[in-house]
Amino acid sequence: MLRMVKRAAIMAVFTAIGATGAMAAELSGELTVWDWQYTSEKWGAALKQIDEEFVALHPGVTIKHVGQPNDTYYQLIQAANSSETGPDVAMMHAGTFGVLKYTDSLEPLNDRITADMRSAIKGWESVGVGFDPDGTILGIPGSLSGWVFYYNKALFRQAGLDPDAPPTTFDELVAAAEQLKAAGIVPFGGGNADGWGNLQYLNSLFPATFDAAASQDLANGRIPYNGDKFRTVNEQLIMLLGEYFDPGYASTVLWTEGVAAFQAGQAAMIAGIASDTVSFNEFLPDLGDDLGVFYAPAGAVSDPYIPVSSGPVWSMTTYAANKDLAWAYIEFVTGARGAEIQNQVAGVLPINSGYTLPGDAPAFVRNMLHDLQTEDTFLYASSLMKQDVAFDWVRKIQDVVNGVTSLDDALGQLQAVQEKD
Amino acid sequence: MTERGPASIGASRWVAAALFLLPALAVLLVFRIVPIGQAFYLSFTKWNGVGVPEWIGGANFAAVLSDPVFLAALKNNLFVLLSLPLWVIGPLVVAAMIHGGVPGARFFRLMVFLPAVLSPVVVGAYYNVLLRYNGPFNRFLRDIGLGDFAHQWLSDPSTALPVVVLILIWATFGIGVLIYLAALAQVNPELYDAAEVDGASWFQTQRHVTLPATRRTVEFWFVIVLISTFTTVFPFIYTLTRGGPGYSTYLLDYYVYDAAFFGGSFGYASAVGVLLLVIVSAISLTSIWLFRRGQEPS
Repeated sequence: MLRMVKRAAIMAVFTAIGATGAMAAELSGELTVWDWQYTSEKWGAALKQIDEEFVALHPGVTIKHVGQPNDTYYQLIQAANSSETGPDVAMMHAGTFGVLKYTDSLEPLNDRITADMRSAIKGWESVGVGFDPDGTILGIPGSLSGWVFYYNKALFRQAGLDPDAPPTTFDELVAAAEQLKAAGIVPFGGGNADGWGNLQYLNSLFPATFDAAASQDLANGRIPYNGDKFRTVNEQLIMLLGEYFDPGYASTVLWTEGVAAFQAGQAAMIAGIASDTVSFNEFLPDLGDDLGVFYAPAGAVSDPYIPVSSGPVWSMTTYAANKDLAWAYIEFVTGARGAEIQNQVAGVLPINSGYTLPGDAPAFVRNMLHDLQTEDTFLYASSLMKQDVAFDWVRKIQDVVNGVTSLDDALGQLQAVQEKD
Repeated sequence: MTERGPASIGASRWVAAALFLLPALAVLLVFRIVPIGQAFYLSFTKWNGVGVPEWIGGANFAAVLSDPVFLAALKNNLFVLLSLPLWVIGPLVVAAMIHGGVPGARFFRLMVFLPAVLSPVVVGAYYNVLLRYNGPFNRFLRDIGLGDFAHQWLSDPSTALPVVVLILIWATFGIGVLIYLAALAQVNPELYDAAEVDGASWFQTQRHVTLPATRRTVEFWFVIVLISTFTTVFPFIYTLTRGGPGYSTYLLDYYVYDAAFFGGSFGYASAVGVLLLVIVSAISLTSIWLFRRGQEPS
């Protein structure tokens, strides 16, 4: 009964909007949507509400929403693309991990994007071929994400560090880690059993050495992976891994144990995601006012960018049966109302300026969003690296840390992968 | 009324046989022969899984043979092969003990066979958690004062592959024991009685009675295990280590999956698959030839 009342109310709201109401009458049929969040508690609830409201808006539409497993998502996408029997709309990652890898099976959306949408949404470089915001656009940014350092102010205090003055340079980061270690506190947390933890730290350290132009040059092959710049980032990471991480880091999983350890105050800092998972959503409830955030520390680059891109991106497959319907869904989920639902239900940061955080949002979240929206930002390393380069780096860096190979050899081989057709 | 001749009866039998075989042959054709043929074709193409494959001749094979990841995986597979004696002889020894009526034989049989009924995914996930640095096994070592032996079992490249091999052996041990027990049940008990009367030790009995009597089964199990180490370890690797750390537990069948579904290079993955087929066939046929040669009267 409640659901019926809710539906009726939603329909009444949208019917009141004349133009939208006219469009609603035109759309019908079944829409298949895939993502890797539908089965998670908060994200899943947000997506279910989005589906419900979309169907209320378009009564002739049914949505077949499939929550695919996170760790095999792209294998399933790849298989579906091969047989052209997959989703009409797919949630994708930004950059080379997602949209920019599947260029053959995703529909260019340039002709459908309106000027209003262009100006309201950020992050177009993460969905444009060649990282070009004006290039072929293969997905619409759905939320704001990026890589930050979260830290535990109580542990900083305990180690004699100023909890309100987090590190701003790499040297300060090392000094803080040293002081924490001396106080018997594990400086950095996370987990790297699946290789993702190291990638997370790479993303957060990368801007200290690469400014936006150099980042793009690395991505487009104009700066080699075995050159000095990328070597510097790796040397910094390897040094931190060797000195300041929990001994169990290599055998634990970031998304579960890594998060739990930071929540429990077992590590002072963690490279996390600005939105979504391994984020403030998981840390704020436990740490409260003791949760702090700082951004990529400065190094050779004195004013580093914050590594930011779209969070999940919404794309249409080339084989979508009803492309107008698929586009309507994408418009809705990435629009102001979609952003509102995602933020209110799942705590996802909005990338669409048509929605602003409510006044009662935690100050921590409002401040971080303000920083991400006003500071210099650019795509993070793993979004810029070709996927096979990123995957090879994940393994190679483990070999270097374990003494199986030298950093020189590893980066030389990485460059060979980059050059492979 | 004319009588049907022998030729006509023979022909109708052939037709009947063919009709009975047809469904099975069709299944074989669709699910085995055609995919193998397709994989063979794709191995000569560049294909990302979408669109039309582009013919590139033997370029994939040339690239695979100089690919450090392929060579690392091949080296790891050969390391796994070194464990074959343990894999083959271990179950035989246990089967002989159970067959010989060791106290608690039925209990041991059940315990040894139990892992064989567990899904590889369950086994992998279980050991993945058990063997973490702060996991139950290391905690146990620390609790009993052996903390110095606590180790990154699956995260240290020097121990990861040996540990994976031990887990593989543990998981498949029961099937080997069961197969050997079936073979031992066929051995004439009088041979054991005679050995006992002759005063043979347990070891001598196994060497002169059990081994010759189960030789065919040992050969069979050897070839099955040999093929399995190349073609069926994927779920264990996926759940235990994902081929890591680095490439230290990366095996060839995992590479086929990785190249296709992570790398999106279906043509390249097919080339690795074809080479895997060639390697497995060559090693298996050589083993069978050596076994047969060993049976020939000198």
